[in-house]
Amino acid sequence: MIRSAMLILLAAGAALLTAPGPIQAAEGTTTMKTENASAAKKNGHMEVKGVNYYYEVHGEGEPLLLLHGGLGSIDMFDPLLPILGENRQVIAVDLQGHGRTTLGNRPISLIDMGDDMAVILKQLGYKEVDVLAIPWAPASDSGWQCSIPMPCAGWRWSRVASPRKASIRKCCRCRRNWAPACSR
Amino acid sequence: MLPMQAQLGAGMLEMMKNTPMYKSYVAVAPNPADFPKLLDAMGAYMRKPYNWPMTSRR
Repeated sequence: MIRSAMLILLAAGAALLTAPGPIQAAEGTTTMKTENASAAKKNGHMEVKGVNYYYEVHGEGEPLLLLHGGLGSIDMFDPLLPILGENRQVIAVDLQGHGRTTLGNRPISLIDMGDDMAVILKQLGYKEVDVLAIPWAPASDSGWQCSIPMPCAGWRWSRVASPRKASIRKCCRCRRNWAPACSR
Repeated sequence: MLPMQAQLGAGMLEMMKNTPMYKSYVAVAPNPADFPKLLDAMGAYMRKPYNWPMTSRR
């Protein structure tokens, strides 16, 4: 029972943990995290609607928003960040109640977090981004696709090849323009 | 799988303590004691039914 519950959690959210590399990262000590945080080009906190979000920016290039799975954190991506950062500017955010981000008093909702991501990206000065997101159960693959576009129509999603075998089961690509006229 | 997800909550704290999820959480969380609250919040999220295609405002 315990084992199957864990497996579901793994399958549901922390999909990266099934890959050999990320397992080490997740079980590693804070040393690795500190290294990665200090390797970030920029990092910090941003308060959005009562949740104090932690974010890191890595690398240079076209911006890529990186969203971890349920019960994970940016640290899930430790082995991937240097690879992704070679060609892309990666904006990684610890989601509500996860990693270094506070839980706040709001219920957890992908839709609300999608809206928060829009605020964070705008605040950081990004006009359009690609998104790489780990699916969250039970919303599964479609969850982020449906929630991130929420703040404004104009997101364009398409699938791109998975950079790391099956460890990221689906990569979602989306772009949007942060038009000033954009409203809910 | 869905019934399992629906059980997620603070009651799973003890069995979670040896998992990478718990260990990585307490390593960096602003308030490590909040982990049970996170489990409750995630459980509530998972128990809530969604109809994503209908929800989408695209």
